[in-house]
Amino acid sequence: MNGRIVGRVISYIVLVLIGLAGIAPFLYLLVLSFKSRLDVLTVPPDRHFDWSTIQENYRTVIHDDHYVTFVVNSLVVTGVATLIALGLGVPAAYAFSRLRFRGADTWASTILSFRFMPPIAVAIPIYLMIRSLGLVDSRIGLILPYVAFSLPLVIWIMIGFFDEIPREIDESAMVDGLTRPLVLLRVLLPLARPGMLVAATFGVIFVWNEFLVGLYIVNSADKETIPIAASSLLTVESPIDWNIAATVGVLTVIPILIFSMVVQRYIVRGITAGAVR
Amino acid sequence: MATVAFHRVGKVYRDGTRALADFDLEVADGEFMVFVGPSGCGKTTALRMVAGLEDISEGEIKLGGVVVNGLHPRKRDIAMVFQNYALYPHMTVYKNIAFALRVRKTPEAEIRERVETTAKILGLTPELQRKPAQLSGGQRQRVAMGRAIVRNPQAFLMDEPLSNLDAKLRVQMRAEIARIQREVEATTIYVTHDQIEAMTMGDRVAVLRKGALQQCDAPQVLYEHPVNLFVASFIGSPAMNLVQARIEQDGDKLICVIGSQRLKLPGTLLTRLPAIRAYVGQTVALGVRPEHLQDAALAGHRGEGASVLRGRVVTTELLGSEVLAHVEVDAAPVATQEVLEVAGDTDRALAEDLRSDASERRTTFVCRFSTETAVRAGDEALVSVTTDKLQFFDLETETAVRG
Repeated sequence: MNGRIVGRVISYIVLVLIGLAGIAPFLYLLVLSFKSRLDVLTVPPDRHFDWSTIQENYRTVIHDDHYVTFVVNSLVVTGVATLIALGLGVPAAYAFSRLRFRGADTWASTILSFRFMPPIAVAIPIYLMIRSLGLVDSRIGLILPYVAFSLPLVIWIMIGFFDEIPREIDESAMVDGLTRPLVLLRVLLPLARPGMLVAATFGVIFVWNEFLVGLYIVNSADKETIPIAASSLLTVESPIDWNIAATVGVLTVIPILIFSMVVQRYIVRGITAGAVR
Repeated sequence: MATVAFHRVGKVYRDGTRALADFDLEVADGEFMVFVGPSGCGKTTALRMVAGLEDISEGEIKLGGVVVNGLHPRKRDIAMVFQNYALYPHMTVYKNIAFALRVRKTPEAEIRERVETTAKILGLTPELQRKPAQLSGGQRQRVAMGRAIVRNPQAFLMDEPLSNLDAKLRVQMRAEIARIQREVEATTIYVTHDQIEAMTMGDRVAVLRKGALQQCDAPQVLYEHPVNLFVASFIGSPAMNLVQARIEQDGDKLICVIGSQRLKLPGTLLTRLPAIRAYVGQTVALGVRPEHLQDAALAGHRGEGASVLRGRVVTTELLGSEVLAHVEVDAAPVATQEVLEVAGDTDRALAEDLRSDASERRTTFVCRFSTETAVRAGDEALVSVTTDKLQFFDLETETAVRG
């Protein structure tokens, strides 16, 4: 009995330590974003915080550097790209999971292999394609490649989720009077929702952080997404304002943090439970 | 409700496997038809073809006189109960049952009324607002039934609906499904591998083997007059005892030689089966049901010497109401492919035993003794045989000797 309690205490301590190790860099970033330009250089940082400095840092980033524009750009590009990827990927995954057609397995693994390709390998060809479409420096020019990057992942994750749902549910729904597309829409989508959230999360995180392709395609400041803007804030305007850099870092992480918290319980449920049954 | 007719129906899967061949059968309006057979016999394929979930490779299936070969499942107006129930996990019981009606845009008031009536028939009224995950196995099974009967379709198709339930519940649901079927007078095709389910539920039972229909008859007819060795060994539990026997002429009488022992065939049997005379001098398969083997030591069974077999008791199983005695007799068993297959389907060890018995020329008879019997394992026992119930099968064609 005592042994069990001791074991539990130890395991909690270990877990807390692991958690702290994970969150420490972010906390350090947060602390740095609260410091003035000179105080940032003190290592370790002292515990003296000045409200006016904090205000000043965040005002600079949000107001002077048009941070809001970049957030909006990122939100639009990420949101639209992910929605399109889901809209195309979910029906495709359903077909791969349920319909027997020539070369189905080969196609499925080919699609996954597209995802193994690092963006850097295809950034230039993609740029050339987008340019010849006349879409350089536009949101749609960014969204299209991002859809292409997210789609294989969405398809693969969703195939797994659809495979978990017994085929008899489809068959039962067809006998009940639905066509295949309606089976997907009315019966399977509600069941596959955790899977769609998992797929969306991976897609969102990738697109939100993507830098290289965005750098090639966007070249005016008002179209930049956060990763591109962050880099240009630092290099062009003022060389090494670490406190500002930290503030940008914090503000970049916050939206994705909120998103993760919202979908987290679905994701955990989606990954652990076998969806249905 | 409507008739379901199979006309020379065949199924070949894309990989070339043949699942069903030349299947001819008519299910009458309101009839409870059971498809039974070992796994892989094509029974489920036949059912799924009626539902439209498998393409029909050959022949025609008619529902209510209309050919439905090319029709999408949703246009066939049939209801199906699946082995795993296939309930919609995200919907309440009410919504599950109402789903098909909603799809057909039935007015909401009518849906409510029909769902509530259905729930009452099935005793599901308190469960209507719960989700499938909160229900017991038996309740889920009933919801699956409810989804079918609420529709009032042309036919019910049931694919092993009881196989996920425990034994006790299965017996209870067996009776319940049969009751509901009679109540709604639905044309029903019920697939099972369990011959007890088949025998207790069906108006008629179709026995399938390797994609071919063997026999389709009322349960009692299947039991008393199986057309071949396969049906004989598949139907009945414990199974029919099969042994090799030689038919010989003894004066104006026929006798049947089992190993070193002789059974006199009574006149009633010869009147029923005159064709057996053609087998004089030949070896046939002799079939005898366990209930036609009684303990000769008990009063009432001390018949004339000729209808008694001597054997050694291997084991006895006390079932409360009766004793199953396994009695070994020195004669070669029937170990044709069909019989081995049926044995192997229930228990692989059983098929192995049968093979070794065959090589040692001994046959174990399972006999239904009354509990008053005094026989114990290891005893020599005399078994009285009800000889006018004997059945004979041609060893070559494996079909029953008839007429």
